Amino acid sequence: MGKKILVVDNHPVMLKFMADLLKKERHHVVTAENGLAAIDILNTFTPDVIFIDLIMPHISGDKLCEVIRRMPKLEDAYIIILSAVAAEGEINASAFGANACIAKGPFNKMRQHILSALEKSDQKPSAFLPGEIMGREDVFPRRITIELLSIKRHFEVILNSMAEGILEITPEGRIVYANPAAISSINLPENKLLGSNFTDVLQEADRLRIKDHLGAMGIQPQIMTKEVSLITNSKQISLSLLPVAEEEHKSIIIVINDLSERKRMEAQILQAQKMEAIGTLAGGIAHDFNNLLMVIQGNASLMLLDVDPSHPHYEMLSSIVKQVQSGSRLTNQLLGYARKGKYDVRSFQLNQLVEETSTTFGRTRKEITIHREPADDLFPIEGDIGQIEQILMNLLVNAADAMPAGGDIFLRTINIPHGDMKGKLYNPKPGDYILLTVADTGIGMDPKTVQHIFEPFFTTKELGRGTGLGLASVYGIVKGHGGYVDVESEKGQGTTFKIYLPASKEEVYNTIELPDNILKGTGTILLVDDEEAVLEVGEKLLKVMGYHVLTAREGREAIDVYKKHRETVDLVLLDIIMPNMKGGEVFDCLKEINPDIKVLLSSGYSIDGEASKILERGGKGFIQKPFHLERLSETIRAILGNNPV
Amino acid sequence: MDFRELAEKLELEENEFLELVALFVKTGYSDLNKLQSAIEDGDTEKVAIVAHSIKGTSANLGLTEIFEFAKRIEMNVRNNDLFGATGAAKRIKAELDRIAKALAKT
Repeated sequence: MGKKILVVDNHPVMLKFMADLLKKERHHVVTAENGLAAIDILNTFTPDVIFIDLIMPHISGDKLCEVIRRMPKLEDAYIIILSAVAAEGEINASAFGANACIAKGPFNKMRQHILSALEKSDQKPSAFLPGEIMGREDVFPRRITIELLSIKRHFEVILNSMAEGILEITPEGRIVYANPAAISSINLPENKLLGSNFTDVLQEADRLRIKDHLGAMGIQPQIMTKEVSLITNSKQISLSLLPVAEEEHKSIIIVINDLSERKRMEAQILQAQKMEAIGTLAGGIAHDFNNLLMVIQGNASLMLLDVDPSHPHYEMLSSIVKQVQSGSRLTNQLLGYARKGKYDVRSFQLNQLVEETSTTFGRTRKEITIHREPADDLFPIEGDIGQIEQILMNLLVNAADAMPAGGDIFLRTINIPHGDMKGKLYNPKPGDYILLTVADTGIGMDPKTVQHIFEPFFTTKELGRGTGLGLASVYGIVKGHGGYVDVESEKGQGTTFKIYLPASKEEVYNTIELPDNILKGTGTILLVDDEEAVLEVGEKLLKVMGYHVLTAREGREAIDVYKKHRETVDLVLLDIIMPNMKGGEVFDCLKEINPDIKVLLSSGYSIDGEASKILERGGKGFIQKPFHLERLSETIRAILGNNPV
Repeated sequence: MDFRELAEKLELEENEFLELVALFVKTGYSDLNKLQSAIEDGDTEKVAIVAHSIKGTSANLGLTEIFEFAKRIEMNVRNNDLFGATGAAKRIKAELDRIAKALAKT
């Protein structure tokens, strides 16, 4: 019975000889002049035996063998390698899946070997005996062939070790060669890649564009570089298209560079710039709002002092004060995000704060169980207790919101010696750290959400519930404290926040409860602020506290007033951000007049660089607007020495 | 040129052999053109590949003269020696001409 046979060889003389011979033996013969044509034929034709030449353009014989072996319907096809090169015995044809190998030589000898190989193809299971090459003894001396082969291998070594992906495609766009880097970039097995259309590995949006470019290259060859995305893994790559025009066959070499890493870096830089820009904006807004709130709060507080609790206005005024405090918390969140420095820095024990904050929080959310695992001998940290508390509250609220039906929150603190900080993405500054972990068993987040959570005004909560400032302020505060924040989350798997904060070598400061009422005092205070309304309400507040008040609207005036009343002024309450003469300059001038002068700084901004510098030069303290009546009175008393804090 | 004797050696029928030789002459001239322009360009890599191809097919058909010239070219060019390649190519052309002439007479 005749067999179905496919012969693949690029030389017409060999093809004709094989076709004539096999037809005479009553076999059904189909011929192909290269590997690519063979793959096309094999889509519709299922041969029993395939003869393959080893060295051919458009997919070499060994690659073709591998491709065929991975086609399920051709698993049992009998493959015979026909090659002059194999005659040197340098090639182990079984390695790429062939059953037999026949050396090219005089046709009479070849005929014998071909017919006997066909007979053998009937014996199943067919097995290839390594090293058995039929007709070796008949060939002419071929020392040179080895050299030809070694050059091919030389190039193969280069191509295999290149970091860039290299593809060769036909002018029609079909892939005939792919080096390992290209295969791993595209992430498709080689046998799938070879013969397939190059544009099919690109994402839909890029296909037509690249097809057009490839078409244009046929008309006017030119080197070009394009950026596209892959369909398999959405990777972004650049393509350099290099036309190769040879007499025998035209093709296009494509050099592939993986852009994912570069794109990732660019995105990271962009993200950092965005955060910075929003931070500046947020800080500015918070500053202006704090000045407004200050006036409202001050006036409302003053009115409250005059109104009897039974009066109907008392409730309304209390409500105004409460709302202003909520507003001030919001601006504090904003400042937390925008803050580059801290104020009110002390060395303290985080465990105590975690314990207190989480207990308070736990009372409001009965459906949540809070587990605490504080480390013994936790290093103290240096920071602003109010801000760290803000971090904790924000994380606790988020964790609880992620578990509407209840769940567990795990709070853990541990010491991290500096050595263990290595290998992190960021570059930790020298010194020990403490790690605060806040983990929940909630709904978790997808990677896209995780990417944005630290951006201000990004929220997943419904309108009216989330401000989108909580995690943004966490981020800002942690950064401001020289720490790092990590988040691990997976949809349905809960979320874990890791807050790294530098350990402190200072002695622990013990918190003192602040008095809830106004501390009255005596003396004269010079109030300096460029905003009329702030000046007005500030003056009233200070008077309520029992102080005599002088005012100045800008730096020059402040200095003049101080010169005149030097003997009587006990304290200067100085706004830092003012037009014309800046707070710092005013401070220096005052200091020149009286080196022992007591200056309390104030600002709608947080204690950024400017305030810290003045404090270093001898400022006595900092208070943030809006002034809280009790806090202001307490701070002034502390500075004036009547009641040290 | 005795085609019958050559065909017998290869155990091919004479007309079958003649068809193969005709095809060989046709591809041989085209290969030869490539060979000559590659020699002119000093493209040793290409000279070797084309010479190798001519050598292989002439061996298949038992055309020993062409085989020998092609082999010489390939061997020399591997040592970066194009000297003599032009001459050898001319000899191959002469052989092809001779075979073509003989074919025309059959």
